[in-house]
Parts: sequence; C-alpha cells; structure tokens
Amino acid sequence: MKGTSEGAVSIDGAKGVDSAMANASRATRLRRQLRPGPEMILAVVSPLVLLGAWELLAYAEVIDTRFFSQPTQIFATLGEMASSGELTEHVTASLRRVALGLVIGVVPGTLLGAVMGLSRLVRAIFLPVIAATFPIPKIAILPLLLLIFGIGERSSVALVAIGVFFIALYNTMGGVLNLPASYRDVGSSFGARRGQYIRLIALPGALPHIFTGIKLSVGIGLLLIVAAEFVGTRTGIGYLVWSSWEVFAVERMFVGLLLLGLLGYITNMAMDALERRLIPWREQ
Amino acid sequence: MAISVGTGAVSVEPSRPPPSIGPEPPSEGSARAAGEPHADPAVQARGLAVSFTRRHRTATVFEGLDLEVGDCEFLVLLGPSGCGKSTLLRVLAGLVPPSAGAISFTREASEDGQGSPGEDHRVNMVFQDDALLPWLRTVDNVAFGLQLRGISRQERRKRAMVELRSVGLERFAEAFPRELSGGMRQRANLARAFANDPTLLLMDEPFAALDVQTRTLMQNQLLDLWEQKRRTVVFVTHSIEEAILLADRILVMGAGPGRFIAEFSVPFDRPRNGEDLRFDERFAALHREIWGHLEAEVIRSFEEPGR
Repeated sequence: MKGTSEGAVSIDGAKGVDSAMANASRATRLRRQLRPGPEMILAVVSPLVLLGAWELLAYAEVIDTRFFSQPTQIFATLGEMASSGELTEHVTASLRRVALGLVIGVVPGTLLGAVMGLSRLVRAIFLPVIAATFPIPKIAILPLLLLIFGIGERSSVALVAIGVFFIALYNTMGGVLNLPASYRDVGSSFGARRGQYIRLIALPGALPHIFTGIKLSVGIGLLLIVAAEFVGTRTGIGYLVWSSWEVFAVERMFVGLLLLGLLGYITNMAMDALERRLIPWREQ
Repeated sequence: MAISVGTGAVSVEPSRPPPSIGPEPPSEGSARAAGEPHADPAVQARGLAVSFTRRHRTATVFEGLDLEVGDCEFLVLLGPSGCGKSTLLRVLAGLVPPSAGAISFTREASEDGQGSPGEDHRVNMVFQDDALLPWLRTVDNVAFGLQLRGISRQERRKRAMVELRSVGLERFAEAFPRELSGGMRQRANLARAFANDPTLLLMDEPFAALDVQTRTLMQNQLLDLWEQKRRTVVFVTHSIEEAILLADRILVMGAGPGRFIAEFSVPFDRPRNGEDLRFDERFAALHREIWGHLEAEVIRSFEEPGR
C-alpha cells in the first residue's frame, strides 16, 4: 500500500484491533451455546423431580388416578403400544398428513406472499380477500372440509394446508415489504435490474422472515392435525387422544399427549438446526 | 488561497439566487492536486431542483443548483443537517429523481467487455449506515456490483480480493458482515464501491457513525486509497475537519432552501497525512474561515428545527 508510513502503521494497528474484536465476539457466542454447569443440571433434574412427585402423589392417592394416571403406568402403556406397532402407525399417520399439508400450504403461500410483497397490483387484488378470511379460526372450517372431502386423509391434510398457507403468506409478504430501504438503495446504486433485485436482494433479504413463517407453520400444522384427527380420521395421534377419552383409557390418552409434546419439541429443534444451516448470517 | 463565492455568503435571504459554481477563473495560488476541475468536468449538473409534496404542501429541498465536478477531483459538500447535501448526493446517484434539471456525465465507464450494454457511466455510493448485505460474505459483498454486471464468480471474487487487501480485510473475506466491527464494515463498503470501478464515487457521511479514533483511521485509509485510484469523488460531511483533510475543493451549503454559500480550494499537497495536517496553522485558519460561513447556517437550523 502506498501512502505515508504512519498511515500504514495505523492501518495495521486497526487490523489487529479489529481481528481481536471479531475473535472475542466469536468466543462469547460459543460460550453462550455450550455452557455446562449448574444451569444444565437444573434443567435435567427439575422435570425428573416433577415426575417423581406426581408418581408419589398418585401412589398415595392424593390425586385422582382416574384423571392423572401414574407416570410409571403411562410409560408402561407407551412401551406396550410401541412394541405392538400401534404407536408407529399413529405417529407416521399424523406426520405424513402434516408434511403433506405443509407442502401443499407453504409453497403457494410463500410464492403468493413474495409476489404480493413485490407487486402493489397483485397486493391490491388479493389482500382484501386474504385479510377477510385470515381471521376465521381454521378449526371452524373443518366441518366444511369434512363436507367437501369426507372423513379421512384429504380433509385433515386440507385443514393443515389452509392454516399454514396464511402463515407462510403473511410472513413472506411482510419480510419482502419490510426490507430495509438501504438494501434497495444498494441495488439501485449498483444498477440492479428488476429481476436482479428480486433474485439477489429481495428474496435473500426476506429469507429470515420466510423461514420464520415456515417454522410457525410447522407448529400450527401440528395443532391443526390434532383437531382434524379428533373427528375426521381413524388413525393419528389426535385420534388416539380422542378415542382414548371416549373409552376412558387415561394412560393411552397421556401417551398421546406425551407424543405431541415430544413431536413439537423435536420439530422445533430440527427447525432451529435447519435455520442455522440455511441462514448462517442471521443474528443469534 | 480560499475563494468564497458571493459577498453575501452568510446572507440568509432565501431569494438570493445560488451562486454559480461553474465557469469561474481558478483561484490564484491554490495548490489543487487534481487539476482544474472546471476545464475538464467529469460531471455537470444544471438547474437541479428537488421538492417533495406531502398533504398538498410542497417543501423545496433545493432548486436551481448548478454543480461541476472535475475529473478525478475530490469534492466535499459541507453543511448543517437539513441543507439538502445528502439529497443532492442521492440525486447524483440516481436514487432520487430531480424535480427539475439535468445531470450529464462526460466520462465513459471503463469497458471490461462485460458492462451492461448502453452503460455510459457508473456511479457508486458509500452509504452512511451499514449497507452491506447481511447474507453475503465480505468478499461477495465487495463483488456485488461486479455480480450485477454479469462478471463470472471466479473473476469477480478475484477482483474483490484485491480490493479487500487494499483495505486490510483479506483475512475476513469469508466472514459475514455481522462478524465485522463497524470500522471493518465501512472498509468493506469502501472496497465494494472501488471494486466496481466507478466513474463517480459518492460518499454520504460514510464515517459519521464511527467512533472518533476509528474515524481518524478510516480517513487516512481513504486518503491512501484515493491516492492509488484517483477517482472522481463527491463526499458529504458535516465535519469541517474531515472536509479539509480530504477535499481538493469544498462547497459549503446552506439551508432553506439548500444552496451553495461558499467555495474553498484546499491548498494542501498530496499525499496527505491527517496527523500532520491537523497541526498545520493553515489548517486552523481554513477551519476558522469555513466556520465563519457555516456558523450562521448552523444557528439557523438550530433555531428552526422544523424547517
């Protein structure tokens, strides 16, 4: 580099300071993620204590075992259902429906949301209809879907698809509409054409919001599938919970609830991991 | 050595026509490092006006501004907030359409065989806020302008690395912007603008958000870079010190509506060094003289914040 020697020295000095700062911030991030110690131990111990207390109180008949069966019996039922293959049947049925509904709902929702975010005209055409139908609780249209598709796969998949369509649409549209003005300025300043702006600035810029929409959709999808399976199917975790209630098989019902909690947790973790992979630039 | 335009330079009458910065004789004794801008302008703007209409009320940012920037001249627009200097820059960048007036660019963009057809000039801007695209690694941010021009990934990354080296960021080529400090991000912004080989480089208070020490380093770095590349630059700032340090020529702007109230030629030889300059007595004298023109404007914007 040309220029005065003092200038060069001070620039090198700046380099040193900068890299030290960058390294320090990287180190603190790592510490925040992997932090064993009292916090982690507490996180593992507290649910175990809760389960133990439940078991003891049920054993001592302080709580009504007709409603709250003992944890040990619930786990025993879980084991039986797992070995008979019944568990797998319900779980795969629900997961298949959610996955299908997600694909059918999220893909068009994201596409239409992106186009609506980019085009005033398309927004003017679709927004009134969408804004008017969005507030209807999706569970309320299940009877209509049962009427159209009948009992079975199609009505439950349709319910999930319709529910997540709106979530994906609104998040994508919002992401595109709320892009910082500076991104647009950068594009214009470097002479981006319309197509380049969409492909290289708007879509990657909106990706964090699009992904948030997908993440929320997975959660909403699990919620809706349970409602659909209560009345509309003969398999699935929702059916398991509902049919167990009908025959008063409390342990089987709790197995269903446990599975739902577990599924929600696992999918959440999976989506977070996917997000870190797909959007590595996002602030944690 | 310093010429001020118009005797009523600190006059506050808005009706006074803005002084023409155009065909004036070069001031005697000015040690202009980048040659005589008026003899060989790279950019000419005539009768520029910008006004915004909101709720049936029209606010005029400026009107009837004439501006010439010499080839490879470092021009600084200096003024209080609200004088329209950033808007003028955005008009030059093509980000804000002027309500009246025209801009002509007389320099053709260097052809690398891959420029967009019909492209006769390239204007790039370094923004005040952090305008790196967060999803691109530093090297790809620097190469962004080249990418838009359709230059192959390998070639544009190679060129971006050269620019990164010149701002001392080559070790952070694969980092994301959020992993960089504020000073590093602005260095990447400089590299991105220079990488695109602009015929006109616009800088909108690029160092305003940085702390004073980082700002000083960045000014030195920009002086070095400019020394190597010799681009035509229009730089906006509200810091008199920064203006003197960097500029060949300073245009002082006043507000309500925005207009040029004074012009100074900066006499210091290049290459310049910030630390030496700041203690030069001519620096202090020029600083005082510019402040003399600016003070009334600053007080006005102080007392009429809604203007």
